[in-house]
Amino acid sequence: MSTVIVKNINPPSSTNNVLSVSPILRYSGSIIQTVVVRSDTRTTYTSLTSGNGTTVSALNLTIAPRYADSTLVIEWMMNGEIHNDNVFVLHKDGNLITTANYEGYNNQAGNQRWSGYVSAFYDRNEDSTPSNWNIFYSCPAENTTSRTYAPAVRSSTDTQYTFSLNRTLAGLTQDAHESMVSIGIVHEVSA
Amino acid sequence: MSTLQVGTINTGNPAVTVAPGVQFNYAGRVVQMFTNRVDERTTYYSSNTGNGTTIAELALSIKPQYSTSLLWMQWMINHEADHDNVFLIHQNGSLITTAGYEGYNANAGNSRWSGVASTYYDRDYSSTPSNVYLQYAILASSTASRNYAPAVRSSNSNNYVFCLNRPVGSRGASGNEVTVSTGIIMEIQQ
Repeated sequence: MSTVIVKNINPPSSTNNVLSVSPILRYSGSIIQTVVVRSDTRTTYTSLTSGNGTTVSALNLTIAPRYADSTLVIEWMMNGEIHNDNVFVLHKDGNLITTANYEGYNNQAGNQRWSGYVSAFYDRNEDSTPSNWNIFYSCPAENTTSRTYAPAVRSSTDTQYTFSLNRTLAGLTQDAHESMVSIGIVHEVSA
Repeated sequence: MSTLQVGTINTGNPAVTVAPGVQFNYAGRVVQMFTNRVDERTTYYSSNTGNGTTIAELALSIKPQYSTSLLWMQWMINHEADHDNVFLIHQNGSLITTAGYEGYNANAGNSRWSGVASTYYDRDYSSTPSNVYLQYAILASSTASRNYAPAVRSSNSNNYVFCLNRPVGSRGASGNEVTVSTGIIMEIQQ
């Protein structure tokens, strides 16, 4: 690989001041790639009282990092309805993320059923009005293997619940029972 | 036009300087980014019919440089409204109906209860605002200037008032919180 030492870069006038780089230009802080998932699916997931959570697979974000030393910046807007005694944990390839300092739950509480990345809301309505979550997560890529990130839902008590994604618990298509959209994005950011 | 094949570009100085006006062209590049901060405490009418009322103060204007770019945007909206309302996404004041990028739930269709997010059920519609986070992405499709904004619509047969950055009961007082709302849009080259 060759190295050019240069202070200024100027394109020729014929390119309209645009310098084309192929395939990518990599520098610290640059976005290497972006992947988006959008789900309009109105579905339900069972939130179990034990185990590591049920993957909300409709929000799967799959990425194969180009560089092992990149940072992955992930953000979901998730809409749905569930009882307040639930947490959302984070999964990688369908499994709870347990990597030290990047756990998909509170690492001081440990992997208890009440330990999550975010909690459900206490709105005293488990019927016709959804909630809105912003889930923001980042981790080192570590390698260039393709992988899938997703939120997952887990009961925080000894009662099993249902999580309704993009819909209310009670209704699908009627007045005052809102249907929504959920979206996720992952940026690979260069080291 | 010349082509230089090189693995690394280096400099003895802290940065390689690109002449003003010059732009790189590669996938993943953040081509441009704009933010919007709104401190206005205002109200909007949320109708039980139609395609929603644009929350105009939160509009994010952009003129994409590439029709193939991804436009990614987020809003933090602090507000108070009855729980029977939804948020929609408008482009230039109109509900987005482009297949795959609808400003509402495409499976539900453009019904009044279909949005990208819902208001909260907190049983207080007087003195305590809520916070909602919206994320939306769409392909630019053209380089025409446009703006994107959230909109609000009633999800039942009633009409409501939507209060931005203030509670329903007042424009701010002890126990009646006033807030700020923000938005950001990025053009990401594909």
